[in-house]
Amino acid sequence: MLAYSVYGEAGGPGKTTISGSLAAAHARHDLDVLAIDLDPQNASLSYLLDVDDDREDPDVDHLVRHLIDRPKGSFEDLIRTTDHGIDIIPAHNALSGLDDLLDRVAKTANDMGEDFDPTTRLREVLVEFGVADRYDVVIIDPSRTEGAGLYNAIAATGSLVVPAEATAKGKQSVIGLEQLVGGLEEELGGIDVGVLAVVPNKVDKRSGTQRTYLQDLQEVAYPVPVEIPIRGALFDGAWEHRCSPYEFVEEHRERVPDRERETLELIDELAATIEAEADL
Amino acid sequence: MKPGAGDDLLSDDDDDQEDVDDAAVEDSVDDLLAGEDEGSDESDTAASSENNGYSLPWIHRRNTVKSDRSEVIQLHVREPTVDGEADLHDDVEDILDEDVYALDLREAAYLVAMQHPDEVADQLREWGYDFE
Repeated sequence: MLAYSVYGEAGGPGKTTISGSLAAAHARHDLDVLAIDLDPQNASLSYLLDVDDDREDPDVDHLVRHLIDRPKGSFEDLIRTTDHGIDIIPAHNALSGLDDLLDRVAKTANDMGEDFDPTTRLREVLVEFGVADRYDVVIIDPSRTEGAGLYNAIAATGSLVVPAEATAKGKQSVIGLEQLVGGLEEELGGIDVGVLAVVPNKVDKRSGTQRTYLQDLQEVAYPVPVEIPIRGALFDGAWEHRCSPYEFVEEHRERVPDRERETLELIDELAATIEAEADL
Repeated sequence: MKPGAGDDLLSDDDDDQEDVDDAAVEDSVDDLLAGEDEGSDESDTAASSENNGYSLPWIHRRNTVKSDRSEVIQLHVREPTVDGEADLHDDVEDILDEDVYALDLREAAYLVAMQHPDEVADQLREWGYDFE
């Protein structure tokens, strides 16, 4: 099985757009995809894929309840299926209090002499659910900020896809990520976190300064299989119509410009490269 | 971080590393319960009742290596310092005969240095401080 979190420092340039696009690309390769939205912000993967209608309802069962061991129903019932065949566990507003909730439960468990690791809860519920037997690909869109949502994502997937800007911040953000992940690897008892791909995003080939920064990114020690060009109309259209960019061009564009077709092919190539890493 | 796929963490078989950690936690809880029984024969002290009667050492009490470590000090160091830390890490692990987290090692080394200002000043003199 292939599992990864899509995360980069510096605000996550296109984190959610890339998550949604890759989920769609894998599904188009006839793979069973489970996406998990751990981002408490409203403009998250659940919004993009149009499954966020329950996020404010305090009475529904949601992933946070399962992470703190107080589920209201089965894990399977958390999963929604989008109109385009991607299974997704949507975000809920309770995610914004995840750190506090996990800390509180951990403290109680600790006082009772029970073992409760707030960083590996997502891994535990996914393993218990038997996710590896049910899905080919798990993609997590984690929270933008450091904390339980991000740590749980990385501790569950073990692999990352890292969107990066082709700016002075880009290479620094990859270096910053190395420090964050290094600490986490140690905390988790020496696991190896892998970087499946660094993905320069919003690339403008005509910009000379960007070319320099792209060379910087190419020099990081991780694979950089494709560069995603700046494509405002394509990705904004996907957000406006709340679907992946593939469905946007197929269902909402009368004529697809070549440059958008080429960009979708790049995402497809990225998905295929990542799949090859997991022998899918 | 390494290039390519990371560890497969979602397949059903637990990794060994975690089993060891779980066992260590359970052992420490057992130690704690045993210790508490002995202690309860004596009078309850104010300190122990604040801790629900438990007084485990810090590394066995915390949830993660970053617990209680809310402050971050970023260190820019030269290459020999990195190698020196690796050597110190090996030496300390040999002395303690167990694995030590790098975060614990660094903070402990830092605290020890605070008790030896003269030697810290000597090191700075080597770098050219106090140069007449």
